[in-house]
Amino acid sequence: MKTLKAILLMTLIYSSQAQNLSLNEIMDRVEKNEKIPSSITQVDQTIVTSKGKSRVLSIEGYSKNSGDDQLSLYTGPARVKGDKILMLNGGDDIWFYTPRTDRVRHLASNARKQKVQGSDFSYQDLEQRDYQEDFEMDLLGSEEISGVNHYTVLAIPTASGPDYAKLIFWVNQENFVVSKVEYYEDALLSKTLYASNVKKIDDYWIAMKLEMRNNESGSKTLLETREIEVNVDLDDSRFSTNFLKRN
Amino acid sequence: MKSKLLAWFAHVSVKYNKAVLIIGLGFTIACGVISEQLVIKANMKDLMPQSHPTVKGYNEMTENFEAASNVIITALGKTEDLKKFADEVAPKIEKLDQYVYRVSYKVNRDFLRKHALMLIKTKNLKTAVSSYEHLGLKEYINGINDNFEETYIVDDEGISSSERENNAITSLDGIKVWLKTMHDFLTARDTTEENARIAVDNMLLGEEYLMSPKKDMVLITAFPKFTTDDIDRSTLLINEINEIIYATADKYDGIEKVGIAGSMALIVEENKALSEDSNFTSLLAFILIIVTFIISFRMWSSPLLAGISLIVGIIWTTGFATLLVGHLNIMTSIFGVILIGLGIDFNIHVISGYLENRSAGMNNTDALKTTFAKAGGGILVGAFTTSLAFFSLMVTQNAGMKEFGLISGAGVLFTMLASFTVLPAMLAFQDISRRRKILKLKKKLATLPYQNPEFEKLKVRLEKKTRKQEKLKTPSFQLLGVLSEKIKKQPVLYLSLALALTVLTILRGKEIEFNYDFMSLEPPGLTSVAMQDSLIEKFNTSPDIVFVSANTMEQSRVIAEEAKDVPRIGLTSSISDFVPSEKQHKERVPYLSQIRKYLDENKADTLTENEVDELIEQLYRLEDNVIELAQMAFTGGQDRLDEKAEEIIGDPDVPANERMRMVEELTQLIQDDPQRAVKAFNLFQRHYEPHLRATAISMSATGRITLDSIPEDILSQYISKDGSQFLVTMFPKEQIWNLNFLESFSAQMQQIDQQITGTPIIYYILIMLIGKDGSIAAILTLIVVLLLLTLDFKSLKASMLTMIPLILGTIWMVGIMKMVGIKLNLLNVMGLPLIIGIAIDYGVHIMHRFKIEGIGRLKSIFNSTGKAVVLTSITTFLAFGALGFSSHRGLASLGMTLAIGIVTILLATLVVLPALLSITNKKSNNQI
Repeated sequence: MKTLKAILLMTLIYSSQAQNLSLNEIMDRVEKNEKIPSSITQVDQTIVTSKGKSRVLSIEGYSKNSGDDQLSLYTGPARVKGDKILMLNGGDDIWFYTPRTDRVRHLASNARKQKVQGSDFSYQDLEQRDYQEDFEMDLLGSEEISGVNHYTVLAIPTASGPDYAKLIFWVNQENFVVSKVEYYEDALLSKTLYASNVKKIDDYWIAMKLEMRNNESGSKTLLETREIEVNVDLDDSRFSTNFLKRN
Repeated sequence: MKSKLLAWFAHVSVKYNKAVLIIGLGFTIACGVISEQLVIKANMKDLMPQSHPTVKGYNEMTENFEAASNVIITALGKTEDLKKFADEVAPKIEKLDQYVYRVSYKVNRDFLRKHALMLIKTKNLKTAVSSYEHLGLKEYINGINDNFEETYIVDDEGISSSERENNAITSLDGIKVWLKTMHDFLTARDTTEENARIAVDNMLLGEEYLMSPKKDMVLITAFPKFTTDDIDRSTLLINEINEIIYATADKYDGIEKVGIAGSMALIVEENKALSEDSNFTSLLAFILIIVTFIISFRMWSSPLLAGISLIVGIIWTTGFATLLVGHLNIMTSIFGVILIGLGIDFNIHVISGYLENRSAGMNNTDALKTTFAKAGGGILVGAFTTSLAFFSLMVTQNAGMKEFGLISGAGVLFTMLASFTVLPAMLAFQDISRRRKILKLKKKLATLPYQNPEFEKLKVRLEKKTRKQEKLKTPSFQLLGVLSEKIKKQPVLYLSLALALTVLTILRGKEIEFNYDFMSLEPPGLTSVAMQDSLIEKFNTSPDIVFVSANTMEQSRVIAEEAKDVPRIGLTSSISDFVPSEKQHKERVPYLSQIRKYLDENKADTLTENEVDELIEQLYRLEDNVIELAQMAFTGGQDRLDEKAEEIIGDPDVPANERMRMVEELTQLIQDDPQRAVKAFNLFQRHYEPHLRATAISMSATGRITLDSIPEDILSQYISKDGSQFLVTMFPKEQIWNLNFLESFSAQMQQIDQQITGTPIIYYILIMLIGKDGSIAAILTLIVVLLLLTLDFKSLKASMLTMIPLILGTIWMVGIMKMVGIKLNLLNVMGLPLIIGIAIDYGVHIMHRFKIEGIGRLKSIFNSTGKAVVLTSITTFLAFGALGFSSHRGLASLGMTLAIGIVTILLATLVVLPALLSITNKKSNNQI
């Protein structure tokens, strides 16, 4: 009986806490989860075209400065092995290298909207967000997804934000992971991101599986993190154009 | 009232049997003559409400624009043979000028030679300028590289849209031919001027024939002078074209397959299949049912009369359908089989009762009167319930169900009318003639002395005939009575079993899937479907086009520009592709002037041995560009582009030393003998340079392109016949039969313009309509049936009891469909309201008898009426089973669905109904 009372009390405290959080506090907690100072990840990227053909790419990801600088190294299949994408300054500078031509290409400044290696993620989708700065937000309410309560947040991008008309986030009220994002271009729902298989690594709740569904083309891309190390000491030289050709 | 009417029918049919038969025959002949006009319309559009704006728009546009209706001739095989095939076939089809306006199979290069550069997007034109700065081989390849990198690698749009992907494929094709020609000159395989000209034309103007990127499929498009609504001429045209293409294809070893794609070919093939199916399944159903009847009744004359009555009822219905509707669609094409299955039931009830009464010693008038008195009410209510259930389909919006409801509802009434008039008249006529013959024999026998040799013969004949008269026996189903008795004793047990089955089938049935792929419902092996699949695979676009008309050319430009950015559109075309706007013209003129200046001022420098390394460097740069483009295409799933690139850079999955690399091979040859290379390339340059310069000068004309300067073959594709409207055509990127694709494609089309129409949009609306209509029809049928039964039984309780087995049986039907792997589709979804209207009769007949005889005679009710119910369900099952043998897989699935439904509802009626009657009558201690 005592245990039951304790659980009830905890639930009450928790739910009152959840209800009392302001939008800024909610998004701060989201950022706290997302802004990992540095990391190394092993990811499988599966691209499923609208015709149902799938292509699996293996990627080794390096991230520094809380995700502002990112390096993706493609490790398989043979066709893309050694291809590298370097994103610096929060996605303002994007470089692409392929060993088949041994050329480093600087992508145009507005390439943020481009698909990353043909996936349904654009470069801007993978950029680390500063929610307060990149969006004007509004707390719409709460909704249940798979039995868990979520905050629903409407986000209108500011000048520094991504190039969408609006986004809607579903933030898990228990771990503050963004479980779902809807991306709108004009009035049309363009893409939907689903995050699942959430694990706690050190102090961070991380979704190990991200699925981006493209509602316009019918294709989808899965990003499944096989391994992740956080707070890793990474040399700055790794995040330079010289590194692309050198390694 | 009802019994008086039935008694009157019996009386008239017996007393005036000859008159009834003569009137019936006359009416049948008249209906038969009218029915000659009935046609089958297999077009999906014909299932739609014809007043729907999308259908109206579609009809208007196919009438107004030549290009909105087409026949696409496709051939697969080797490139050179495909081109020869197209060259031979196109003029032959063009000669069919009573059917076609014209035939298109080549790009109009004359027009492109004059205006190609003016038609390039300003952004791309800007990057193309440098390609014309120097026409020497080394510099020209450098220019190609600059242009390529700017357009596909550096530009943020890359190969993101279908239009850009298609442009990239065309560019790669030009590069491939250019490298091959360099190789030809280097190896002295072909050093002619003509070869150099081909390289230039391919580089500047692209492929001349309408070929797939891999050059293994060619298209020839014929534009008919009529729409698919003119099924007779459509059939003649398709047959003529088939004769031409098959005869021509035989001449070329490199042609692997030919056929016609597009809606006209599909409709012609569908029509043929539906017509054959309709005849075959009707005949099969008829034979099966009559044979079953003969076996059950152990006699042939009565089943034959039942068959004649049934045919008469169907002919009346056909005449009615011709007068009121004028055509059959995919759904109504099966009305014959449906009526065979249902109409025979009325005859079974009549004959069964009549024979029973005649065996009991009644004369034929009394036998018929008694039959009509006992079974007539059930037949009448059953027929009206079924026909009203069908008629209720007329409230639906889609024409398929609406017309089906009308024709089948009327058909049920017509076949019932024949059962109440023609059949009893025939039975009476047969009986009277037989009795007259006996009487005549008796009289003759009485006059003959028994010593007469004729006497014995006549005596034997008389005995035989009399025996036949007395032998009128009906089949017995004692088991049904025994079963009902058992159920009566343990109703809860049987109801529990039924409930368990219901729970199980609900669990399975709710998982049933819907197959939206209309093509998978077509008869297997249709050439048009196979060629359409190949076309989509090879060209990445579906021939199921959508289109919209614009009042002005500028309006068509706005629509086309918007459509080009839509990811689900594979290709967009409009007249604005050929007529730049004033703004575009102004923007482009400076670049064209610059190109012209380069072409006028610069001469092509000959290649020297010192420049060979630079040439090799440019060639490798070109290869690198193609590799990067291929990487982008590979990761983005743009396989056609990746495959095209592989033709130049080789398959990356093959080891580098075994890989065919055009550039590597070429540079190897250059390095082996630089002197020879310089000589060969200078010869190549001497041949190509004047042609390249002349073509480029012509292409860079700065004059305004106006509608007047557009050649007729292009103009007629985009301008309405009266010249007032402009057509914008959009090709979906994929097969339209995937609902997810179709849903978002339709939404994207609506965003572009509300007026857009075409097969994909019509199909999407049809799916939505049928989904909605199916539910409305099923609910409405249930309500109509319940109301009718309540009116007839004057008891809500009785009507509810009758309906419970029906509802349970329908649930079991859906569950079993899932278990045996039948998916719902656009045709068999109609089975749900149909089965309710059809199978309600089983409960109705039993309940009618039950009301007369009560719970105490449950065994005899099931022995007698149960027998008739089982027999009628067997015949209905056989009819729907026969439909299951249709080559049209959609109709076959409808047949299977209904056949399953007949079995499950019969089972529910035989098991659940006696249990319910037993429980309710014990509790209330009242008769219903």
